[in-house]
Amino acid sequence: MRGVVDIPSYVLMQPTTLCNLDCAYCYLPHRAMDRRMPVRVARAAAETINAWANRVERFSVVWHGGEPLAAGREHLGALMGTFRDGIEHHVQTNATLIDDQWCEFFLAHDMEIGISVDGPAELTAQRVDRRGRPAYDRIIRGVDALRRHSIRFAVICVVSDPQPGLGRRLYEYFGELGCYWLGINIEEREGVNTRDNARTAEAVQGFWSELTAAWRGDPRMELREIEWSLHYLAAALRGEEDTVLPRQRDPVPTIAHDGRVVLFSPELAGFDAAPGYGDFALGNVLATPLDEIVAAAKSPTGWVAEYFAGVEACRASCPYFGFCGGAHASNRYFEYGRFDVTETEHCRNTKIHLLEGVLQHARSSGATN
Amino acid sequence: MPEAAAPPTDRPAPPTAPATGGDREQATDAASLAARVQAAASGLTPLVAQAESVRAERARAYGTPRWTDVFTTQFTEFSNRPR
Repeated sequence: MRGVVDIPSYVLMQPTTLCNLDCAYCYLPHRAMDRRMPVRVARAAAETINAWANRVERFSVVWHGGEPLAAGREHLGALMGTFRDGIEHHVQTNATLIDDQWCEFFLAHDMEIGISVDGPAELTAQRVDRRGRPAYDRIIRGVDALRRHSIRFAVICVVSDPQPGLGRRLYEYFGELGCYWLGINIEEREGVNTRDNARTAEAVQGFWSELTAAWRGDPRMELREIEWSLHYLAAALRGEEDTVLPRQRDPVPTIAHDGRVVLFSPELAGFDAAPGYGDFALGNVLATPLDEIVAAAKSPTGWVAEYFAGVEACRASCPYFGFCGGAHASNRYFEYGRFDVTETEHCRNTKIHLLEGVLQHARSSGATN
Repeated sequence: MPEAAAPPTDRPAPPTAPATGGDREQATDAASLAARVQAAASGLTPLVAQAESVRAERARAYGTPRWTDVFTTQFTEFSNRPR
């Protein structure tokens, strides 16, 4: 994997910075403020995106926040209306605002829904509102609305304390909840969340190993981390582990509420005064066409050049590079204050220990076969 | 042409080893990882077969997964998954 693709497969859009929740591990700096994306920002981004979509089979716009539903149906609909038919729209939501009207909106716009919930109430306890009240019951009301309307949903689950015993419990819970897809995010130290994310190898590998066992016993839902690991390990068994990653990197353009564009790590968006860097925007769609901003990444400067140097250092030094493609820009920065480092705690928790956890399960199950 | 903000010059030097080196007792070179994968082949093979089977089943039921169906909106997590 070298270089950057000409046309990304998706962009992320921030319809508002506001979130109605105040989760303990959230990385977003401006989530208490309602800075809404003006329609002219969406229109400027759509000029490039509509042209891109004409040239590829599929293109997705992912509405992210803040809490994207906090922008309101009318405003979100106006933003979405700037994109041509055929572009696929996705939303990642905390689900607390979902009601019958929102479900009708999702169906009318053929949207794919991802919700954020961390397990049963006691495991979702870090998801609270600004008064510290648990959000769990409101999340489940939103899930109930999705069910009433037969809208399928994916789940992203944040795990702060991965350990054996938790993996199976989570898998069984989400099986009951009825999601068709599950992604596990081990809590990261990034943005305004400065909590330590160092974990022991034994705990994290044990967690992933147990999750593998749970999925093996009942593969009722797609389990992102485990299935991606098995995709890689299948190639490794064939001796083709260097062929798994795509040829070029996707820049993952993120358009912030005000039109500023960040590439490679959406988590870097919204940081106005990152120490030493200013901000991480590579341009603003109100001043520069999005395709020019993305194309500039082919001749990287500033922090992007430093990040690419870090990726090359990963390639040269890490045996897991073929699995992950290099540590993420945001994790490098928020863990080390720079981009040219290599292995991060995030690497260990969600790449290295993941792969080793799946291998651990394979070894134990192979021994009993 | 847009330019990324330049890194500052007064930063700490990058670490020369992982900050928490205690987890690194496992083999870390590519050859040993490959060898350990092969050593786990008997356990991995049925897992891999199950993954391929459920993926094919989903494709029949729902069509080829869309890019962002697969990773939803999880930022850069596995965003470099092959298309």
